[in-house]
Amino acid sequence: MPSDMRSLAERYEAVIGLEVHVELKTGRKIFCSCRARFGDTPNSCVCPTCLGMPGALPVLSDEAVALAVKAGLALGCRINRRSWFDRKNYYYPDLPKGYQITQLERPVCEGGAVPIETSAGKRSIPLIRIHMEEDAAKLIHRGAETLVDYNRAGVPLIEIVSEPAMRTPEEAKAYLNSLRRILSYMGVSDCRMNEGSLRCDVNISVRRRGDTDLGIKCEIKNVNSVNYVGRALEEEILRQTALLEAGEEIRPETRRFNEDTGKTEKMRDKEGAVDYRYFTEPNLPPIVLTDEWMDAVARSMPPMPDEAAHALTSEFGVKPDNAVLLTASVRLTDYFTRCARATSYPAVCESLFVGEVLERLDRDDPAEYISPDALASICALMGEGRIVSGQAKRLVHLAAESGEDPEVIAGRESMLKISDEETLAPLVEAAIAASEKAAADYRRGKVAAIRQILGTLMRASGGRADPIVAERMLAERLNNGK
Amino acid sequence: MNQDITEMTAAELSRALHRRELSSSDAAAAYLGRMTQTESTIHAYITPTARRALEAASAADEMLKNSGAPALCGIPYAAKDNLAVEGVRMTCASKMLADFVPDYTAAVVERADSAGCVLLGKTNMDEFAMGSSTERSIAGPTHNPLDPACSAGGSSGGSAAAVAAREAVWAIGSDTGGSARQPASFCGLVSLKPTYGLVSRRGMTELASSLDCVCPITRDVTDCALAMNLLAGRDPGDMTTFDSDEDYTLALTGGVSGMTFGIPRPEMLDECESSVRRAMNRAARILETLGARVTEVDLPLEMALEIYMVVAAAEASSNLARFDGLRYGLTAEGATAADRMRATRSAGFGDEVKRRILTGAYALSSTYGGGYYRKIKAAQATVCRETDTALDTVDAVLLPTASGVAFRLGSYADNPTALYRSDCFTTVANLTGIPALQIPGGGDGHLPVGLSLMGKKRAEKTLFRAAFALESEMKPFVGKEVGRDAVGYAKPC
Amino acid sequence: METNDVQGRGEVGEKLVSAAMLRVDGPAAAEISGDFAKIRARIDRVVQSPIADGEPTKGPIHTADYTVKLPEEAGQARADQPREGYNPLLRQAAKYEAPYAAVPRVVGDAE
Repeated sequence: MPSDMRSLAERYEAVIGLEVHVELKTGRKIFCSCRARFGDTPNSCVCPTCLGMPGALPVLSDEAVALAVKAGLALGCRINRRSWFDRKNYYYPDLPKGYQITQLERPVCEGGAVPIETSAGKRSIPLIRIHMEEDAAKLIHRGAETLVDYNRAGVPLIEIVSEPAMRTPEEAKAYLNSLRRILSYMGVSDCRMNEGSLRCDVNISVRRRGDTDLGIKCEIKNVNSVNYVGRALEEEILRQTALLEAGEEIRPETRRFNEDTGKTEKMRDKEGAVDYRYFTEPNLPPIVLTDEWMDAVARSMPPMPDEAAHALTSEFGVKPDNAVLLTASVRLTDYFTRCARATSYPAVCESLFVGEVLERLDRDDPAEYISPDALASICALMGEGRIVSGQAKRLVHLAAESGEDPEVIAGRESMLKISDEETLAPLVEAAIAASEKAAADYRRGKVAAIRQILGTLMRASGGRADPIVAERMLAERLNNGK
Repeated sequence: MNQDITEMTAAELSRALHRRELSSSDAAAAYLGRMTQTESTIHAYITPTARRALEAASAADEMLKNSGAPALCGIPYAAKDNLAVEGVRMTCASKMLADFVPDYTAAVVERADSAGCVLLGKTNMDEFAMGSSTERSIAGPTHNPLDPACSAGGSSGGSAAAVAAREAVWAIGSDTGGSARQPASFCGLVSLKPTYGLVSRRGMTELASSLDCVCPITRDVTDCALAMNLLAGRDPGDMTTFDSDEDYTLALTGGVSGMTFGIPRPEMLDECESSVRRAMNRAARILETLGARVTEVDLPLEMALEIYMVVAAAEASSNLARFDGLRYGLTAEGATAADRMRATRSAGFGDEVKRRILTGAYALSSTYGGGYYRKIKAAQATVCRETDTALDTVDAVLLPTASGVAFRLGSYADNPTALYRSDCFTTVANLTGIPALQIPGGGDGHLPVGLSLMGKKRAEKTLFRAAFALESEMKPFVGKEVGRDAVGYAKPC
Repeated sequence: METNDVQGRGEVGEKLVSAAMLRVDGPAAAEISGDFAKIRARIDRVVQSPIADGEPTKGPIHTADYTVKLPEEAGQARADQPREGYNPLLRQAAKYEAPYAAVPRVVGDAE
């Protein structure tokens, strides 16, 4: 950062709030029973209701409410036991009814916070609200025409609105990552930004440090990766700071992030913005959540991902970094836990699972790659010193693919360690013969040279020689032959 | 049979069908024949569905071979053209939907279909149910069967005219501010605006979602009870509906002795025609004669009408936003999507629809309205409380349905908003969600006067009981004053 | 001072017509704008009346509360199987390029 920029950063600070839309993983739309899934043939999942045909009425999905409440409980929100829907009216080709059913006056969740951790430490970003709404159709712009896919119209969403409580792009990125981790662990959403199941609008203003009033904010719409959010914010902070420094006014604008140029661009002025003519949605009754329902929803929730990670560390000694990887989803945590419980060598299990198994899994929804028992018997082979690590890794995949007993495979494929001296003796002779200079060095007292000879021996054994036995034999042979 | 099939009430025809004295196919043929005679004068239908009717009738005849066929099985009826029927054009009397064919069916038509009812066609209405005269239709006006120079009322004027002209045994209409009761009044028929949520609205093109009700229009009170048995009840597809398994025909008898009825203070009727005041007074005397107590009550009719106008327009402006020329219906040319929407809506909607959309947009706008909507909603809550209080002291309230008899077609052409006043006695029921039952109450020489009974939410049985008692006593007067032999037995043209 | 004119002379009227995605012109414009002034006066009468001072209903006015059901008792139909190809409902779209509905270029961004 050039020094003039640094001094600007010392004099100005950014105020950042995020509005995050998350598609709820109910598998069906919020007000009709059409399937909601990424990647279906365009317009194959539509009905009179989600196409806005005259007379078609909405019927609320109970499951969507349950997921919205789970999100609220996970983020420590107050859950409104009675809430209702409102209509947001505007004309746009992605909006089949000419209005969106959303919650303005009484959202399902209020308050709450998202825990984040940055280089500056841990803090909580407070939330204003979480409300339910329906998604709009997807528009694909093509020259003079726009193509519409109504599959997305009516997909259940929650909008999570933060307080303008973040100050740096790093915090905004940490917020998004934390939110994604929590909501996907709770099964609320896939939270895949590339598929649009998590979308982010950024509100940002800049003010002089020490000011308590907020500056004029701009909104950057629909930034679709965490990194882009960081870059868009950095760009926007520079742009707004430069304007303020030049004594110019910030205009309230809606902007977009151009992924090609890395800059933000103006879309339109916010002044004279659309008047959404909100009113209470008459076709949906107020929704009431009973104690019994709340208890059942709370009971169906897994622990928070941080708690789950902590449990892996305390029960199996999993390294903190790995524990985070292993708590990407409840099913992944379950799978690993079953593997770790099946073995007496949890550290070996952790290393094989993270190193070999994890890369073969869909972390959000893992199928069982290798059975916990098979992985346990490989862990035992390694723990008992009967197989070297490279062979153990190979064995994981062979056992996973064939389903055979790993011991049987290891025996048949000659994968077990060579520890007996009779088998190792010719390898020792050959390695010394092939390493004349190293042998001479060793004999002159350069003890470390034995590592080179051992390396040659290990290569010749296909990695199977027991390195401890082999090194002892090499040393004996070299010392004797002095 | 000596009696012409088309002169029978639903109850009479039902008996004949269940006794196999008549077949549904006979009935359908008789009605389709009647339609060919009278439609050129009355113009009750936008889209007749003759072939569907004959198929449904022969299916109904099969059902009637078995005991336990539903009461209305095999009986021909008509449905307002804002109710979707799969495969049948639904125009809502608008250029916007002139060629629209839904591939889904309204809940009430589903119920009627599965009960073996025979749909004769889709009836005329004011465009998108906005109006009180059935003149504002792409299909042209409907004429009152009792006097073709007069309006059949609206917006369900086609449904009422079809029943009055014996072009249907009964009909389904819709009522947002009086749209079924007022035409029933103008045509000498019975109509119940049920408690909000008693009848499913699924498949009915919405005008104002919180006010709209699907209503039967019938020849007499008994038929109305039969129709409500068919239409009422919870629909999982309309979350505003509630459970009901009443048999309303059991509520008809019992009389009004010991009941208390509210009537408006005399000055509330100042604007009414004398025939209306006469009918009110007579009905009140009859109730007293039958052993009921009659007392004056205050209902917030004036405010209800004003609030109604704003709420109805606000919700309509939103409900009609879906007609944008992009997915179905009329499509006008436009270089951009917004151009197309604007061109389509400008070409597809009539002036009254535009007027109400603009009124609604204004009321909802935060920029111009400045929080009007919240105020209107508060005022509506007050009207609900005041109405509840008034209804607390009585079993039902007796009111005129309209301030006069059917007006001549074209009367309001120069002053369309003056027609809004014709809803002054009816809108309170929609605004507060209570039931209101219209029955003929007299006449002015050749056109009928309508009276309404209103009660608390879910008090339909009370209303049926009182209406049946009144109807029995008033039939001779009504017949004489309208030049007919009995209520609902129109001998028009 | 606001004007109630929707004929295009007043900014309010113009914006309102535009917000409602309409065009109002010709003889109808004069008629509607005249009525509109009357309508506005009527709205004002309600809004300025004491009956509008109370609390509005919390939520929709005539609809009983809905108690959200537990997943096991909700018994809601599972996601429908997608229909083959495209939905016939969309064939009524003015322009249909299976599997998409095509509309003219969208200018500007809403939302």
